[in-house]
Amino acid sequence: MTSFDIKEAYLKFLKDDPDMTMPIAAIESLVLMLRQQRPTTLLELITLVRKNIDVLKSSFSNAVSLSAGCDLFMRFVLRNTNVNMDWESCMKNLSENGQLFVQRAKESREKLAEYGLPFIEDDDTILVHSYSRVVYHLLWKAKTERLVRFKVVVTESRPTEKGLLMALLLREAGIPVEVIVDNAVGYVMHNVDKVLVGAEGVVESGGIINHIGSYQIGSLAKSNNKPFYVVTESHKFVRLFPLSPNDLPNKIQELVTSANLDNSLTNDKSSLSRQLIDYTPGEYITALITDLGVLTPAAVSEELIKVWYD
Amino acid sequence: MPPKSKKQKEVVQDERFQAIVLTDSFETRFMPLTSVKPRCLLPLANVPLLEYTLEFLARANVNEVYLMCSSHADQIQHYIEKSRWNGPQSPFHITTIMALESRSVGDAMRDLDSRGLISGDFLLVSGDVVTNIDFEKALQFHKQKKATDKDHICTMVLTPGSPTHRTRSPVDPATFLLDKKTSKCLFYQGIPTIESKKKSDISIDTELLEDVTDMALRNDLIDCHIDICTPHVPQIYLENFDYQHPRNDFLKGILASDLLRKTIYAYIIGGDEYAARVESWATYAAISQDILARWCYPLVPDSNLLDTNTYSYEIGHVYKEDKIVLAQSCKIGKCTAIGTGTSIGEGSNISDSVIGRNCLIGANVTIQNSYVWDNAIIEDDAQISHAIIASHATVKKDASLSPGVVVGFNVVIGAGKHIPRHTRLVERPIIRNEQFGTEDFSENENSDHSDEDYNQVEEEEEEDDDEKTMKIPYVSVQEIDVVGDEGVGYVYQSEDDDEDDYDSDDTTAPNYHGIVYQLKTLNISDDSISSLSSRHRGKHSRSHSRSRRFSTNSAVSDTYGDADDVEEHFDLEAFDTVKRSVDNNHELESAMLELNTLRMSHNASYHDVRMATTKALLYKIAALIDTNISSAKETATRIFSTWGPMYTRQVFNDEEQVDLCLILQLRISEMDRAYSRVILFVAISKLYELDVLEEENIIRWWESPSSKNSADLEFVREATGQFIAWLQTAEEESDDE
Amino acid sequence: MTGVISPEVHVLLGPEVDRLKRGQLTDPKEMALAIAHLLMRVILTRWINPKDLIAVIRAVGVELEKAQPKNVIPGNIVRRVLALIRDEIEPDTADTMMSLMFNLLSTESIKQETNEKVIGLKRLASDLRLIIIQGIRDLVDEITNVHEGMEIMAADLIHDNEVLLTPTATDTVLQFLIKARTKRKFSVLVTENYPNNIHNVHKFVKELAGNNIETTLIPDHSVYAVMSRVGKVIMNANAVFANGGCISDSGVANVAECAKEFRTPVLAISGLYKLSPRYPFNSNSMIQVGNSGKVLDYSNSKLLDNVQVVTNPLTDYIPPENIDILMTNIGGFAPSFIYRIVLDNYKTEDNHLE
Repeated sequence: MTSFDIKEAYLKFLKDDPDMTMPIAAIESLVLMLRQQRPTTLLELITLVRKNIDVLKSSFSNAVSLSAGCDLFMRFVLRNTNVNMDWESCMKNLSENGQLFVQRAKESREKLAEYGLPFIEDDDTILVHSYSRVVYHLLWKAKTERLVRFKVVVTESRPTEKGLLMALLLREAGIPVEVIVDNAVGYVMHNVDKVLVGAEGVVESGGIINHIGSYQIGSLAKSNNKPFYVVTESHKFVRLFPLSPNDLPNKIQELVTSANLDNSLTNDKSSLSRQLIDYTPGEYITALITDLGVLTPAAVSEELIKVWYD
Repeated sequence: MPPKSKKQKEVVQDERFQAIVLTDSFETRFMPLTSVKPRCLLPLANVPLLEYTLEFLARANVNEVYLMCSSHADQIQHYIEKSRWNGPQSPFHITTIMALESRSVGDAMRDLDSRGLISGDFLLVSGDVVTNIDFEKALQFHKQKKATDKDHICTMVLTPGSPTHRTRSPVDPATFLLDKKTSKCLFYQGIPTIESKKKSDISIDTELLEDVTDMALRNDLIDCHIDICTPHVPQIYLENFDYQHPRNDFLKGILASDLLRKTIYAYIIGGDEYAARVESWATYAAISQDILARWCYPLVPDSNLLDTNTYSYEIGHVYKEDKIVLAQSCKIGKCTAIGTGTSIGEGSNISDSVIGRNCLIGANVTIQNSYVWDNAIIEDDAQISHAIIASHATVKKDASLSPGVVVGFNVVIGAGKHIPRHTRLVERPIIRNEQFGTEDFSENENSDHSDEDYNQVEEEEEEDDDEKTMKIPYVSVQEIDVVGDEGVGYVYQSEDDDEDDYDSDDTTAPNYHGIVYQLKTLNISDDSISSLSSRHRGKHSRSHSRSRRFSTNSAVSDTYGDADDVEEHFDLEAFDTVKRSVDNNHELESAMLELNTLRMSHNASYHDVRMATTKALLYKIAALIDTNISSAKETATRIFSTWGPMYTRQVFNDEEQVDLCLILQLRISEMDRAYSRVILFVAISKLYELDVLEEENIIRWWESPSSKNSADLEFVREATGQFIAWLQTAEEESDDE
Repeated sequence: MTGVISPEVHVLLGPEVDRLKRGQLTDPKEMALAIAHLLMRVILTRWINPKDLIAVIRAVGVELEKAQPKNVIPGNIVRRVLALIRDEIEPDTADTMMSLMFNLLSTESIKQETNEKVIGLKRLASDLRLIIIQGIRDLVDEITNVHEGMEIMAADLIHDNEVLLTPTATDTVLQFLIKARTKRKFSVLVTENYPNNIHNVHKFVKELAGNNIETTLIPDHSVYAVMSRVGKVIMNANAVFANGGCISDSGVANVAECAKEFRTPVLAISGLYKLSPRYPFNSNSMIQVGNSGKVLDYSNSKLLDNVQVVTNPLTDYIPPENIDILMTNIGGFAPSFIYRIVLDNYKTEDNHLE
């Protein structure tokens, strides 16, 4: 029964498909687990899922995204078994349609980009922090499909320096990019029309957990009266309610694995603080662009509380 | 403008309200483009002009619209059939009336009357009106006037605007005398254009003012020919079959006539309302700008008049349709509209312009205050300002277009070419098979674009010109000089251009290409003169109209007594007046008075007066010589000493003296060569003695190129050489002293 | 999209689109009612499957929105009616965010199945038609009586001897104040709102004074000067967006900003039908720009030729942080709560009609 290693399955999913996000990988590995373990009773199913989720969450330092996926799956299982009482057919569907979730996740990214397109206007200068698949996809779509002319300012995003990856990709897409050091955000802010960031997770307060530095950008944007938009898929909504920017579940200091970056890049900077994520409260966020539509932080907050506590 | 109150609305709705749209302007100001498309289908801010007029009618709650089509009637009909106005959801019922034989507004009105379509009061507009006026108010005004005044037949809707206002017609400005209390129009007179720098005066019959206590003479009204008429109006046109123009004939006729006893009122629109008429390139440019700058809101590009339009507004009056490809570094300045499918290259700069759909604009192109129609191609580094580029035209790399250039449909301008000011280019030479007064030109279908071919056409035109006033030496220049080796296109020359040269005779210096007759005072504005509106006034118009009557290859000589020709009205009458005076030996004073009255009533220029007087005197001389009563010299001396002083009231400054010399020379050159030289000599010397001409002006004439640019002219001036020599020595002597 | 619209519907739709395009429907209430009536007629045309009807109404909505892209009312009414229909044919699908989030996991086949079942079980089209028509009638009633709901709260919000300032002279504000006057004594400052509304404002002031309300007309630029004495700013919202931001007459953003500076509460009044599920992506794109002739006299050619750009914005966007409370006919809400009202009245799937 315990022959299945959920952690390994999770890492394999992430490795095989660089486009896959952590929550999706978590869901996929849970489905895979169910397919292999084949629980026969409801109780068995629930215990199995819960146990594996715990394993996953405890194995990774930055479990924010991952736990979003796990929580969603758990919630789904519970709801379907409780409300509909047809958990068997549901189970069947789940295990049979493994690839479907990946497909759906991609679709939701597409949908999100669709909602987000009107935000990008001709002649805009957009500040982007770090690398995010959805932000990239949105910008790419605006450039290639809508033919919008805009410039992007990307922060270097130390210590991961994923901003450089973002800049590279955007340049390949033919978008004019300027990379700035993280310290220059305040300097460029008044030239910027809007700020776009991704998110590791959206928490119940309506705030976001994202690559370190997002909080200060949000606060600078607010004081400069610039809109600060978060672009994120709804499966990143996570069951957390941080009270302050450092109130985060990241005891083990390790890299955010989703980046698929060569670890050697950051190896020599080991002396730097390994704090990689921070929490940006909802009051700094103008709106969240999600596959459910454009939402205000207040809306996200209320809805999330409802989802988890109804 | 929102309807002000429901009550007014009801008034309109309880009866059918008709509108007559004159799609033909009966003018040629938009040549050469109107040889392909009718004026009302030319795009204004990327929407056919007619749409603006129909939109206005829809807002005005009109129920029935009749389009009077003459030139390109098939195109208009086709357009309407396809348009949204023809569907079941159209706000009015639209009918196109083929009035192919109409040659003027008057003809159209008579045609209309004969069809018996008019059931009540109707709105008469031309198909090029752009306006956002609250028509309910105007109609209310009309109804109210009709109730108080039984003779009321027509309300003119006029816009206030200073005399130099950009949408004011540079072609036919006019003065209105209005009764301040009732807004009744008492008197109307056209005035010379600003550019002509002529002074004019108005004489008003005191009888007109008898019952009026308070009146206003206004020169600040822009007349865009929006009239609310009663059914009497077409009848009056029918009764007075010589009426052609709604202002110069109809309005003046009504006001002057004691018999008709009809009244016409003027409704002057409010300050924030807009009305204008696209009647020349100048107003085309001005109105385009006004539409972009939202002066005629809600008629703006982003109200998307056509169903296919997708304009959206951006701050700074920039309008963009969907699917525009803009390079990262290109700059779109203020007041610009860009149609869908257009792409603009790196570093290009566009401002105050309209770019049509599917245009290809290269890198580092500068376009300012210009109008580029659909599917045009403008290659890298081209410079375009104040120009019009018609559909499917191509401007190759590094070419530059000077202000006032009009590039016709499908013309290609070669790389690096500089097109001089006010050049109008057309794909193929235009053969005129026109009848009077329409824009019905057809292009030469001959695809052989050899220069010879073109020359021939030019020469044929030349023969036309011949009978007008003077000969302009035709210099054969390869078209390549204008459009370049790879270019396609010919310089279009309207009759007016030649005339304008003549007009400015003191500077008829050869232009750079010898073929491009440059119009010196023209900006994009007044590049041509209407045949109808300025008929009685323009020095251009007489010959202009005449040339149009003859087919291209006929060189029929001028006949003075062509009674059918309405345009000849003034010339004929003036000619008769002078002739009669000479015949009957009237007193000089009374002849002069009579002539002056005639001039004013016809709103004619002094140039016309001089022309007519000269013609009459020469006619008389020729007649006398023919009867062999006396020798040519004696006759001429007698006539000029007796009647020469008439010119004193026709010639006021240096320019006009030179003009007179030229007229004399021209007219005399057409006479029998046996004695023409002598007559010119006598005429010039006599007029010099009479102090009509001053010596420096005679010398200026003598030296001016226009006095010697044809064989005939050279011939006729020979005998005068001695006199000139004498003058020059006399002058030197006086200088010596 | 236009392929969905039958010629029959097209005939109904055409004149309305034209009226919208020509700006002949300016009064928001009139516009809302006209659209509601149009939809009623559309529903009376032939259709069998409610799905088809939804497709048709969506297509009609697209056309209406295109006619006046900057006006939210046509789209709102269309979406309200769509929500009505959807409520009838898919009653059980609780349209919460949770179920939306579960879209990721749920399998399509399940949804399809249930939907078909629901429709199959549903009453015949004729019944549905009647229900929808009744629904639209209720909507029409709601729009017609929009003032009533607001007036009830008027007296609660205004204190005695309070100084109010209103930068918008609309019927809604007028009714609100008149109703409040029956219980309270207060004075009102009205800004002039040059150049677009000046005539309306003058009429409005007269009306207020006629109702025994102490009224002062002040020029637009003196707002800052008087703001310290003002107890409340009452403004009319032409449109309210999902984030709580409003569109109002031009110049109102100024007043709201000024009120924020002085910590003066800003009360926005709006009918429920003006509530839009859209998000104001870019405030500039929501602003209507009107006739330049109102700013500068067109006949003044000397000035005209020397001025680069004359712009006459008709509306302003007021961000949610500058609004304290939003009064609708169903109650007063904080701007951050508006999304909830939006979710209650519209279906998320209709936010984008195309």
